[in-house]
Amino acid sequence: MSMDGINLDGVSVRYDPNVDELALNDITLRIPAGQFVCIVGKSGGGKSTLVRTLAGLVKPSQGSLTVGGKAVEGPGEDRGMVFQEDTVFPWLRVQDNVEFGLRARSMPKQERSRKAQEWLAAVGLADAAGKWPRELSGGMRKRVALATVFATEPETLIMDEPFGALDFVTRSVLHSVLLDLWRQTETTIVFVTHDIEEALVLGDRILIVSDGGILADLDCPLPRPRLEDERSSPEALAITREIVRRLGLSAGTPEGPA
Amino acid sequence: MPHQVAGNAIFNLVSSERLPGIGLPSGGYLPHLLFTARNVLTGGVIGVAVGIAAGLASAERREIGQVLGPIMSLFGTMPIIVLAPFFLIWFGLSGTAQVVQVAIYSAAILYVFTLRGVNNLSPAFSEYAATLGASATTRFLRVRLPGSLPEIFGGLRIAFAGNWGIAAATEMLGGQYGSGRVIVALRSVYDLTGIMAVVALLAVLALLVDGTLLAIRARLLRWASVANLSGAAR
Repeated sequence: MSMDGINLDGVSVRYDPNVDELALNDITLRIPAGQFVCIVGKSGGGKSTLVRTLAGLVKPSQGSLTVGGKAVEGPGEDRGMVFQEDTVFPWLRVQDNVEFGLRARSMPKQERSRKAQEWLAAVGLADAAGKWPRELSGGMRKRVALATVFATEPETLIMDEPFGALDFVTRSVLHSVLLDLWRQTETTIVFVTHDIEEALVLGDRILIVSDGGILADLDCPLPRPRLEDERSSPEALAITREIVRRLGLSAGTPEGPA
Repeated sequence: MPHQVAGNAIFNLVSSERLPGIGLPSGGYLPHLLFTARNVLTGGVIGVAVGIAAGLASAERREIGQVLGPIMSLFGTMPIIVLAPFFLIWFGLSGTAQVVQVAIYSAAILYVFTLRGVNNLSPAFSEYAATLGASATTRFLRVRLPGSLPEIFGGLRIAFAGNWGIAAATEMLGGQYGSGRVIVALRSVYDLTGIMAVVALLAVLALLVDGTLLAIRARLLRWASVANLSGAAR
């Protein structure tokens, strides 16, 4: 078996050693390099814990986790993360924000400045380098976060509901920006969302995470770009129906109305 | 009358016929005000430095916070002026008592504000920095420190607003010098206009210091006018 990509073998996470409850329960999963994986599921089901474990922000209490063949011991330069929160540093200008990760890698000033410019241009913010984050809209700040993370050239990009707080149009635009960057960089992307539609637009593969386990692992082989027609094709509707059924939301569900 | 107070403040500022008669040097109000100002600034700077350092250390290390927290909240909650008689006895009347008094008050306030500044900062900023490869030192210097500066500046203004009162009140309780001493002397001859003049001059000095702080804040925190530090998604 190739050691590329992400390999989880029997990974469990227990936040409180005195409590029996597992945030992740014995997860075994393989994500090949370059794949775009979306993770959907109810709140509190373990989606965030799973990706935070991949990022190295949460330590597994059991099992082994390797990314690109290396055991994950903590946050690492091979992995980047975009958060749901607005994490662009308000006290740094946009240019310095994008240079943050490059500076942490001790890249010389001229080189990181040039590189930051390139990535700002790649997300359509070439003119915003000198601005303060507060002068930008929420969607533009997400672009800054994308430029910052992509500038560090991670092999794996972890995204925890990054566009959750944005309006539909802004989110759709950011989807195309992200997909372009993904195609150019061949980064492996693990993307958490609570929005089935978002998963259908983005993912090669959709994982349903519930109660700390993987409830379903679905292929999503729709042709790209996934515009209105592709998203309403019989294949897309079948995947949607499957997700809805697995999440226990179809009519006559024994759990009754929420 | 306001014009009498203003007149009194101006005519007695650098030399005064009145002060020698009530047991003070003839140099006017100014040397006393400068003495108070020196105590406020010296004690304030020392206290602020101690308070910020203690607050940052407590935010970084839980054990430090467990030791310092109770001490700081003791000084923060007790009316600190009751300590003045002890300090005046221990340190004498040279001004050290005022400096210590002001320093303790400033440290207690800056401790609370600094700790709150770091703790209110969304942990996502530090996590984001960590995933970008920042070391623990970098996360402290480039994330948690700048992120807590708005709160620290709030504490600075409150501390320096209170410092003048603390210093003057300590002077009232003992010593031969300082604006508090002048107020006590003027009270003994029922010179209300003189007292108000000294209070007004103290207020002017306090406003000058506050204005300086605001100017520094405006420069240092250009980014902060509407920035959201608590991490709520927008």
